[in-house]
Amino acid sequence: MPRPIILGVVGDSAAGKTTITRGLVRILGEDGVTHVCTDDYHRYDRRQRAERDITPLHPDCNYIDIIAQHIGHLSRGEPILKPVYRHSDGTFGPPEYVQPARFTVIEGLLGYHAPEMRAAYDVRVFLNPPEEVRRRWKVQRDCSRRGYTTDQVLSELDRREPDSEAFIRPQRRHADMLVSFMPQATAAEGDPSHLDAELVLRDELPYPDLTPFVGDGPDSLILEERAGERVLHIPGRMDPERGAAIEEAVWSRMQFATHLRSGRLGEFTTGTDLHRSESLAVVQLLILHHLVNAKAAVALGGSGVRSDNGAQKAAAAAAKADAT
Amino acid sequence: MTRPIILGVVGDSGAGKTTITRGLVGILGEDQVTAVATDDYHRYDREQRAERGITPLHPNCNYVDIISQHLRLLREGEPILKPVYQHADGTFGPPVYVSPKPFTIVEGLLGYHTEGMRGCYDVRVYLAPPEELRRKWKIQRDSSRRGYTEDQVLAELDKREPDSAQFIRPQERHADMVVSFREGDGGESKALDAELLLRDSLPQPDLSALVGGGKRGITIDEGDSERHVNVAGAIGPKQAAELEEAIWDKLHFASHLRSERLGEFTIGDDVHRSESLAVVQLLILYHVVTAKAAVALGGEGPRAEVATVE
Repeated sequence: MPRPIILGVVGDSAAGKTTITRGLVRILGEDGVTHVCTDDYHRYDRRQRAERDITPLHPDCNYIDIIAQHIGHLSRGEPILKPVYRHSDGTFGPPEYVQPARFTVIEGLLGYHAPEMRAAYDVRVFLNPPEEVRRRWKVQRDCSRRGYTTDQVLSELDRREPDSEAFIRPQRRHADMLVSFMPQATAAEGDPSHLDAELVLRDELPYPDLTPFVGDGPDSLILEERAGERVLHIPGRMDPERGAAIEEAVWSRMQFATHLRSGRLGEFTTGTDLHRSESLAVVQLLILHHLVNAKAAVALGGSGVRSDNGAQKAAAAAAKADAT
Repeated sequence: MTRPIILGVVGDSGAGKTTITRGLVGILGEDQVTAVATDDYHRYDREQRAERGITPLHPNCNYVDIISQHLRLLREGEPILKPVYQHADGTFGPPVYVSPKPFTIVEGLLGYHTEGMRGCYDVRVYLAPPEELRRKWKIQRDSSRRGYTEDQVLAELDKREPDSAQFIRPQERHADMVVSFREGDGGESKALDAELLLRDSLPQPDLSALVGGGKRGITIDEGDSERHVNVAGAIGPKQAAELEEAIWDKLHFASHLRSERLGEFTIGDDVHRSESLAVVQLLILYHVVTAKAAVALGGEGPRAEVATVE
């Protein structure tokens, strides 16, 4: 089997990693995606972290070397025995045997921390919501699903801030795609379905041409070219037809993947309510576009879609040598 | 750091793996040895094995591919996150982080099952006591330290026999050194003879000058690419000392490791000492220390040298 395609979804706690990933899994199918969360690689359980006064954001609180090693195994198509951290009670369970499926999503806090980790990804996404949005999301999630009070979450956020600044946010510079969902300046408070998406798209990966949708109307994309990257602004209040037309343009660059089109993109939950967001759908589709193109390239003997993929070229050459 | 030296100690349950390993750890020093038991890589816990009617001896009951992956990592000097099987209650615990020390001893049931695993060892030892002796040892251990009754252990042994025959014992042919302790003809002495099969897959030390004493000494039977060495349990202390001296003489660069601790073993809580066990441990030490010296000098290790000559 050709090597799996590896997607990184990195960002601070509650930045939206699971929301992004869930949509991709829905489209690619549970069987087609292996999902690894680097929280499982914490070095200390919740009690030990409290004793040592260390946050899970600190590299010393994680087996960084083992994460890198396991990403390497998965990217070569090899199984791993993955540790298990249980968020429900903050302890570790027995490890699990994980075999990489066609696509592997590595989701976590420190996924781009070390160079040997970064080399293994086909696509590197970093989620970068404004801090006030992320704080709101974290309060919502941790109070509803992890059993904390609002005050506990807020004080934990303050305690983590120095490590966020020192270790999490600097990873932005290693991403191919920076994603920030943010409320429009004019939007009413608490309208989660119509967040704008602002993307920084770096030139290491090729993008479909979206210039036909650029303009200055309320439904239009805004595209700003910069050295080595461009900034794409997707309005949250976009008309669903407009959204569909943009999605069509992206699908046209994946003509070999029409069988995936039945899946639903753009869905997210607040509490137990299911919503849909046009801008989220476009973001997920752009990520999907990279994944399926990388898969197609590798299936045809290529090394992937990155223009800076020295490590992947070497891996592809080694795989070829093994096969012969 | 140069890569760690990897010793395999493989054999059926109760064959004496831990006794051999403990002596080597004692002499090399705890801070120098990483000991890994492949029992930790069971795929099913005790309850799941009972439900499925599978024994821990079956390859399908173990993550053989992960054992192989972790062996390769340890050989490259890389750390692993090792699973943990708890013999006390037959369940798995959280994994532990293991960084390889200069020597790694891998002890287990299926250590030589695949070619990928076999390629990782500098020294491969297989323990092959006669079945009746192994059954006695297993009963002693499992009823004193793992909470089983004698009948339970005997029933378990019978249940495991087909898998032992199919998966465990065939691994013997991949060893550089096959060790069988057995009851000897030493008259009133109850000490066990050590019968060794030394293969040319590793350069073996020449012990021919030490032959003598017959059934109460040392015999060597040279074959084509292997030799049988018998060290009587009833060997005289003087002859045993000469033999050990001869091996230490070849390890003159490691004389700082010499100690009196080789040959110790326990029955229940009592510590005993056996001359023949000491000789076996010393021969293993010889290979491990020689490999370490070769690798430290930039070589690949004695096994690679033999392979190149062939």
